[in-house]
Amino acid sequence: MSPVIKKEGERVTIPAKYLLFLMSILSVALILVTSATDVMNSRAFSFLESSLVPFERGLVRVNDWIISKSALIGNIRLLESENAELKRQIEALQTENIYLQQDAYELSALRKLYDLDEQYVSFEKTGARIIAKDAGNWYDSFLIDKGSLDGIEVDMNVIAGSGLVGRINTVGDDWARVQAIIADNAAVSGMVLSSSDNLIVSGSLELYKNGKISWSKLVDPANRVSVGDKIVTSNISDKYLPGILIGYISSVELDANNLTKSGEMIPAVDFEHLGEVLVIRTMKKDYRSISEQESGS
Amino acid sequence: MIRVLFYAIFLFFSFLFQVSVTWFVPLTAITPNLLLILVVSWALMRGEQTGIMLGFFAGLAVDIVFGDYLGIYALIFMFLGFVAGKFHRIYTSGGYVLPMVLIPGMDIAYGFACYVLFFLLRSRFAFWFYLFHIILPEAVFTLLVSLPLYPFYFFINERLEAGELRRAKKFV
Repeated sequence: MSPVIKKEGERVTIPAKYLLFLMSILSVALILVTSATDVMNSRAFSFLESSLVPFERGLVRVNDWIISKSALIGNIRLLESENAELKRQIEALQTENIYLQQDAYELSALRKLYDLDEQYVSFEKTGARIIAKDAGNWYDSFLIDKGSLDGIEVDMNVIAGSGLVGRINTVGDDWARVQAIIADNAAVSGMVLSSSDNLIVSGSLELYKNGKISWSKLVDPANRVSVGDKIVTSNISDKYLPGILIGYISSVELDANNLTKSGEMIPAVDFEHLGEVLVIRTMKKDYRSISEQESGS
Repeated sequence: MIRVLFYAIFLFFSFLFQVSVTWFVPLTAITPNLLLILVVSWALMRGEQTGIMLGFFAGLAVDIVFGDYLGIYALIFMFLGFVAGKFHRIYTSGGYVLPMVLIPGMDIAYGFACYVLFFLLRSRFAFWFYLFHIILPEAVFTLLVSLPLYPFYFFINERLEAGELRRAKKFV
């Protein structure tokens, strides 16, 4: 009879300390194997997560149903007054639109100056719904309800409204995980739009409590960068398409080395009220070949 | 076997509700740790072995969906389950004081482990910030949720034990 494994009546039990030891070795082995190899992104692996997705989608449906019913019952009179208000707004917006169209001509001319004529507005995009958030409170990643069956691939850029949300991290059949730019372990290569100086935008759990993230490693000896400047994704990033708005600079400080600058910025996307996102289906590696083709022709 | 089935069901729904809160609260809000309540409650009621196995699979579920590699959350949850299981020996009365102290206590330990493993190692030193803005709010929320959830688990456990006793008598 083994001194470790004991028989307790009918049942065979292992003392807790041996069990803990065995399972710890198993966990550490898993950590080593999965961090050293690419098993996590293999097709064979993704079925594990896919089994959860239908249930999450069901929960989202129930939620939508509850919201639509409660809105219908409570607010008919509110809707009438809102309708009148919206009609007035449409008129105002139509006049504004005319002015904006005039501005657009000017804008396209300026974009050519900035070599940003390939705007991300023209990229092919897929809408997706957020179905789950990270299980902990430490990192900001979330799941969307589109996956490889919808043509989603790892490293595709994710935007919402007009700003950058993050990029696809892991893909399954009908789900994908998005790492947000505000996550503490995320970093994006950015560029100040006005001066084309490169910098690094990194997420920060600490700063995001005030709605901000941090940027650093900006070389700006001429002091051309100031508060309020737009930061967009840079041309040199190998994962992010160029020219996607990340946010606005809210503070600039000279680093202790007297060479580089760093500071805080406000992301363009409202991460607090994110329900749907757009996945850009053009990848950076393909994007480069497209622009080369165009310049060649 | 019935017991394992129940564990699997509880694990599934705990995980599902923990990640599907996006439609109640913003993406960046603090949310209670249902998986931790599950692991600590059952470890307290059943002992170390249950705590270890339940913790391992709860952590593995988190790893599979949200981890960059497998095993790290499994390791954290497993040790928490083991420590909570140590209290099984002194927990005989079925009262609510010990679990209501142990669950937030374990959640703080979990937060501390996460801070050390994921933040301190990347040289984020603002421990007090993380303590007051992440760890303690999460512990409070977790405690609030466990107030109704623990009695539920306790009730299920009593039923399971009664059933097991009945079946054991049948074989004698």
